[in-house]
Amino acid sequence: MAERQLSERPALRVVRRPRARFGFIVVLVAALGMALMAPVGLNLAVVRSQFQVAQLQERMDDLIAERSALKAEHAGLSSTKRVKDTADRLGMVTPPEVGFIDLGGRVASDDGVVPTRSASAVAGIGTGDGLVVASASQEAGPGQ
Amino acid sequence: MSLRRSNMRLRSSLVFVAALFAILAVRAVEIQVVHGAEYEARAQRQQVREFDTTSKRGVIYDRNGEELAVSRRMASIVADPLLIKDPIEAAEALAPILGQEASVLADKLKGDGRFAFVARKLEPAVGQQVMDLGIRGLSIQPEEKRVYPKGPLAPQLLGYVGTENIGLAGVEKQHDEQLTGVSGRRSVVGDPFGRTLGVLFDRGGREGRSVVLTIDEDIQFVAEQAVADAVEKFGALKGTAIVLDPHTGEVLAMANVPYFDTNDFGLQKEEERRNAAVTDQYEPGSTFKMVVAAAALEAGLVDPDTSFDLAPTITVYDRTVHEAHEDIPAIRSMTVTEILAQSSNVGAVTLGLEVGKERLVKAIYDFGFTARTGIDFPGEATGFMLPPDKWSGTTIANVPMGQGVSVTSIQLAAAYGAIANDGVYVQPRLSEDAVTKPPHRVISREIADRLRDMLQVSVATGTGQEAQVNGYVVAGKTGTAQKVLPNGGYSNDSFIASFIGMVPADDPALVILVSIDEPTLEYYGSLVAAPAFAQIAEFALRRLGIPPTGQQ
Repeated sequence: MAERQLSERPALRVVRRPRARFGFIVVLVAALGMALMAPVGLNLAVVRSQFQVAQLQERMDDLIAERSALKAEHAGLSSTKRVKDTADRLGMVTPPEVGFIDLGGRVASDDGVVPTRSASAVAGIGTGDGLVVASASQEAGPGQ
Repeated sequence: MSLRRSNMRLRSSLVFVAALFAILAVRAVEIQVVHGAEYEARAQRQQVREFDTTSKRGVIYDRNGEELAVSRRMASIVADPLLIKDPIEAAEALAPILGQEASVLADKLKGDGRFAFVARKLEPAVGQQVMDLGIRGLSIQPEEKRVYPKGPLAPQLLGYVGTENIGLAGVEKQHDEQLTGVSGRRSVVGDPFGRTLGVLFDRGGREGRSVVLTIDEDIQFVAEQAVADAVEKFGALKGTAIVLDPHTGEVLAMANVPYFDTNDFGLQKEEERRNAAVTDQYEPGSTFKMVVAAAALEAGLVDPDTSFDLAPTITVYDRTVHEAHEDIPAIRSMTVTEILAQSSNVGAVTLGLEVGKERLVKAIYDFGFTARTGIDFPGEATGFMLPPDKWSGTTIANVPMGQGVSVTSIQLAAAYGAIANDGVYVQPRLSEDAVTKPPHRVISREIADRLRDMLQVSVATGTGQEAQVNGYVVAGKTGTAQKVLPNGGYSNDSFIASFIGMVPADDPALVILVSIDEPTLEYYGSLVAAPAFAQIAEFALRRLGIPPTGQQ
């Protein structure tokens, strides 16, 4: 009986040791890692961009501040008082007389020729310095 | 057996890992879903700052495009008191930079809320100095600050704004809606040290629109100088000058002395901040005699050469009117022109009686007195005159010489502007886009012409000789008005000296008023105000390129 059992036993055969499926696991882990890292990377990119935007915004604010400061400074420097003080310091004087070029009742202006003492002439539009010609008596001393 | 055990270990590991993941998932769900909103709110509170970005206020320009008021971007320091660990230490570090007491700063930093202004509208460099301290919980918020780059030029006219950039006086108040833009809103993500890490949104506001004034910076400056010189020379309290284009109603200058740097308006007394030319009323005195002369001419009762025999005084009911000078002959014959030229009180009252109450009142109303001119400036006074039905018997003796009636300087300038503009009254204005009432005729062209001729005589040979301008013919009138005492009656030692005139007289381009309040060393308008008129006129005529028209 025992012999029969032995004779019926299947023959031994060499089987290969099952190989660990490292490749699959690596791919799986990599995929999982990618899945986790992708949003992080995306977020990082967004944050980095936002930071850049913030920096640019701050730079823009600084430039706006600088521009407004320069404009105010420019306006201050061109004030009549400062111009007069500078002119006085340089020994400049107002001509005691001014001469006018008579164009037969019309005056020259930047905008062409306009009638004398029209509303625009009175308002100083296109007139002013161009119309007033210093007389020859400019050599008069200070205080004249 | 070994395989089974191996499988068992594997399964156990899997279960363990799965359990871990399950715990993590549960925790994630708890964090994200159950408490998600709460954590998000907490994060927002800690990291996100949302604030208004102040809109840039519009610029105020003069007629030639010179900037009279601009806005500067400044740095305000704001604190999140919750994030400041040691307010005392932070305050002590900030104090020397901000120039504030450490105890005051500490109080601000200890607040209960999440937002507090520590210092406002600092120079950007100072703001950066604060940030360089690296104090957790402090950050910079940009704010606009109003700056008046011309300093002490037309301060009462321009007015000023409050800390929140709202116009509180002057042109700033009048045009506040136009000058103010719409605030923006910005949301940023920041770290606890106030550094901005990201901008969530930035809804830009709308900038305010600009205002172009009719003022000419140069003429304004010279007018202020001339009035300041007169105030100083004659020991006066204050003074006013107006330069007006009678054809357009444009005010080229409106000066008030004492003046001050508009940037330091807070240091000035309230009364010095007022634009007296528009908001203050006074009894004008002899400059008002023009009205009675106009009424008499317009009614055809007299012409410039009509002569009156005048005594040194005239009594109307219980009121006796004297001349300003005492060396008057017992009887003299004066024409209407001479009455104006010599500024005769007796003559003016005589004319007033000739004209009568009704015609005189009509002329006063027609010339715009007792009503606002409508100039685009806040707080304009109306002037004052007793209602005609309340006039006493002596009122007719007061009003013709400018007593018993109060006017503003701008009313007076506009009235003389009508004479300069051939009898057509033009509403005065201060800004290019002001909405004005249509011009209307007050007196006929012929009468206006005659009045100008009469006023020329006043400057050529009368009381206004100090107002003469080399190369031009000037027409004008002096005024020396006794000031009204608080308890009634007139002062004998407090006067308002004034001169109002137009140049060139034949076709006036300018009407100029100068009024000096309480001069002490001299008090006649002819001596105190007329020279200032000449000084302003001489410059303004050159500035505007108006050719000489011949000597007085």
